[in-house]
Parts: sequence; structure tokens; C-alpha cells
Amino acid sequence: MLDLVGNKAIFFMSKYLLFFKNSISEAIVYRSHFFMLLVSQIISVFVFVFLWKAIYAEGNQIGGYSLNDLIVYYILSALLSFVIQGIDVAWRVGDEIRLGNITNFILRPVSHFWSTFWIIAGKAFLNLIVVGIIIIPVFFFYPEFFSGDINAIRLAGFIFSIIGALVIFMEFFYLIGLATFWMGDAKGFNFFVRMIMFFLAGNMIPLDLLPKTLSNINNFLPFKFMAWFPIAIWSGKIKIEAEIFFPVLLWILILGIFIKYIYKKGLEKYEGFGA
Amino acid sequence: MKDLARKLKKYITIFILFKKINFSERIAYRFGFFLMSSAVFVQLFFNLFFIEIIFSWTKNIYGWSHYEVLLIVGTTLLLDGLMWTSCAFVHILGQHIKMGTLDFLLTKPVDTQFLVSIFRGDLEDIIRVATGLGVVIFSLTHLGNLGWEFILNIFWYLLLIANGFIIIYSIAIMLSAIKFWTIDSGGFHVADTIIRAAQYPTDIFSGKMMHFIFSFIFPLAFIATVPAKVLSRGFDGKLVAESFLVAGIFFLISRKIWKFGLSKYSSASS
Repeated sequence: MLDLVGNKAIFFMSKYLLFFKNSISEAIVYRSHFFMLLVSQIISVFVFVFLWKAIYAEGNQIGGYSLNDLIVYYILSALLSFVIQGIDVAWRVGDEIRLGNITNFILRPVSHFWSTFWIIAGKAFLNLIVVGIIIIPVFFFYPEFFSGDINAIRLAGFIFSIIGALVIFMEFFYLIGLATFWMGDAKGFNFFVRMIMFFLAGNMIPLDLLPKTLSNINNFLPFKFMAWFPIAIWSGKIKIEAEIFFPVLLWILILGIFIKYIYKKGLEKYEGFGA
Repeated sequence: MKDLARKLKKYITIFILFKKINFSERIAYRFGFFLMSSAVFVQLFFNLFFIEIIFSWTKNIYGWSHYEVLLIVGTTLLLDGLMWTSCAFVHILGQHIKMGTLDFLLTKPVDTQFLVSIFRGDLEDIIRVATGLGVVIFSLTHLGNLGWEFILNIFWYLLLIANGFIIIYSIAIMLSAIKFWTIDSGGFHVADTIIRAAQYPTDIFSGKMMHFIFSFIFPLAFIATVPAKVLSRGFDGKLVAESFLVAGIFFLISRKIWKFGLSKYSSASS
């Protein structure tokens, strides 16, 4: 019995590992897209750093942030943006539904969600390796980046929160992509939500600098776990305790249940155009 | 001369025709169009909100007051909107190079760069143009130096934003032409990030070296900062001359790179 379960698990993993591997090979083929995305993130950090430098030069103090804190914030925000948010999950899912490719998944013994999940994980993994390489010069030129109180527990919390960010991001935009079943084309909807996400995840400005009412509303949304939460853990804004991860797990669970339900409902609507 | 006039008329007619088609195509899926417009609106809202948050912490950014910065932001939005409504195709050229669908445009008896540039225009981005214009007018009413001289400033401003448009366009063309070698879709992010970076006064990049880089190598300054400076603080001959020079050189270089890239194009479809 146990043996059988073990075999099943190995089969499950090896099946999806292929998606993971293929996704990496695909990303390597289209290197320039990857490189362009990286360049735009670097420009973006550069601009934000100079902007805040100019504001601090006037003798201002922004919230509880020193200039160094903000620089670290924007570097991490750009890196997260590159590793995770640069991947357009909803676009991919939407096109598969719109163009009828999802029929392949209905006919074969693979789950559409899990294959998409491992494809995205493959891309994020490759992005992470590139970030790892970039961080090395940061270590030499900007050692302050690591000046916070970083210990093993904080690092573990940071890694866990990044995995959480990826899963929540992936689940959330998978759901947005599923809207294609009803809308026919959910690109506008996707763009709309991405714009909101970009701000409310904290990519543009640390969330604790936002007006109180907006942060209160934001506390009921999953966006802040896509960028702000991991950054706050790295920079020590949040004390590491087991409780802080409960909302992450809760969101993963809630979105997972939603996906199961909405995917089922969507397939009932699906007409398989182009297939 | 007569030939030139006829050619110009032909190109203007083609431009208007394409925009008519683009816009009716865009509006055909009403709900999609509504969502796209809402998305643009949300993006603009958060963008302006960000500026407001910044100015809740500071009164000035390198000598630029709140309303002067808004003037730069408005100018950038205006140019960004114009770019997307008139030349959106430049941003997605990579997809067509990859799929080989560019052939369709290459076989027409019109200048290829022109046709490629105007092939697509996104109607929803008119919201950017309108908001940009609104923000410019709003900040002008708060800057309050309206006089005779001001009308002349508007004249210079219009010329300078035309240069700003040429610079944005040239950068977008150069970045797109790279796709002839890399054969890759997507990646308009760089052009997009550059335009977004132009909405802050380029004086924030302090230091002589930085000033040179952001004026002549990476000419963010001439996209929105310089036009806003001339409009709010008056005519500056040196800046105006430099703006024309940079726009002209960038356009010529981009055209050269485009033509060179095009010669490397190998269709993928046929």
C-alpha cells in the first residue's frame, strides 16, 4: 500500500518535473525578453533611488525609513517584481482557454493547474538564479543591503515568504485567467488587476507609508503578500513569529478552493474554440 | 515641392484611415474596451496618488515645487498617451517578427517604418492624453504666471513636446529593431520604464556626469522636464536648441538602426 502511494507520488512528480524543465529551456531560448525585463527593473530601481535621495536631500524624514532602508526596499521590490510578478500567469491561462489549447489538458491525465504551476515555478526558479548572480556585485558595492539584523530564522522566514508570494501570486492570477471562460478575453481585466496589484503589493511605495484607510482595506486583500511581506521580513519591519505566516497559508488555501470550484464551473461553459 | 505636398497628403490620409480602423477595431468588444480603459484609469490614479504621497513628505524636489512636478507628470502622460494612440504597434513589433506576420506590411507601397509605426493605435489610451492635458492645465492654474509672455511659452512648449515625442518614438523604434536580431516577442518594458522615468524632474540625477548622461545619451531630460521648465520658468535658448538637436540626432540614428534591422529580417511564415 505504502509502496503504491510512493510510486504514485514519484509518478506525479516526474510528470510535472517535465513541465518545470521545459519551462526553463523555453526561457533560456528567449533570453532577450528576459534580459529586457531585467534592464527595465534596474532602470526602475535606479530612478526610485535617485528620487528618494533627492527627497532626503531636502532634509525630510519619511515615516520610519532611513534613505538606506528605502534603497534596500526598492532593490528587493524590483527583484521580487522580476522573479515573480514579471510572469504573466493570467495571460498564459487566458490564451490557453481562448485559443482552445486547454482541451489538451482535459483529454490527458495532467492537471491544468499543476502543469501551469510547475511551468511558472520553472520560470521563477531561473529568474531566481539570475537574481542570485546579480546580488553578488550588490554585496561588494552596496554592503548596506545586508546590514539588517539577518540571522538564520529571518532568512528562513524570508525564503518561506517568497515561496508564499509566488504561490499566492500564481493562484490569484490563475483565477484571473480563468475569467476568460466567461469573458472570452480577459486581457483587459488582467491588466486592470495587475495595475491594482502593483500598487497594493507595495512595489511603488512601502505600504506603511500609505494612508491608514487604504492600508486597512489592503489588509483584507492578498496583494501585500506578493511583495511587501517578504521585504518587511528581510528588513526586520516584522517580527518573526509563527502567527505571521498564518494569513499566507490561509490565502493559499482560500484561493486553492476557489480555483477548484471556478475551474469546474468554467469547464461547464467551455466550448473548445479552435480545437 | 508639389510632389512633396502630394506625398504628405497621402501619408496623412493613410494615418487617418488607420486610426479610424484601429479605433473601431478596439471598440468592437465593448466590455473588453471598458475594462482596458478602467485599467488605464487605475494606473493613472495610482501614479498621481504616488506623486501626492511624495509631496505629503516634502515641499520640493531639487527646487521643483509640487505643481511644477505635476507639470512634468502631465507632460509625460500626454506624450505616453499620444505614443500609444498613434504608434502602439512599435511596442509589440517583436511578436510579428517572431511569427513572420510582418511580411504583410513590408509589401505595401508606403514607407515601411511609417506603416509599422501607425499600424496599431489603442483608443483607450486617449484617457492618458486627456488626463495629461488636465494635469498640465491644473498645475498651470496653480503656478499663476499667465501673461503675454506665457502665450509665447506655450508655443515653445508645444514645439518641445513634439521633440519629446520624437525622442520617445526613436527610443521605442531602436528597442524594437533589436528584435530583428533576437527574434523575440514582448519586452516593451524597457521603453515603458524609460517613459515612466521621464515623469520625475531629471535634476534628481545630480552631478555633471549624470546631467550629461540623462541629457544626451539617455535623453530623459528632453522628454518632459525641459518642456515643463520652459513653460513654467520661461524661454531658455540653450535648452530649446539642445532639444531640437537631440531629437533630430535620435530620429536619424533610430531610422538607420531600423533600416539595418529590417535588412536582417527573414520572414518566418513563408
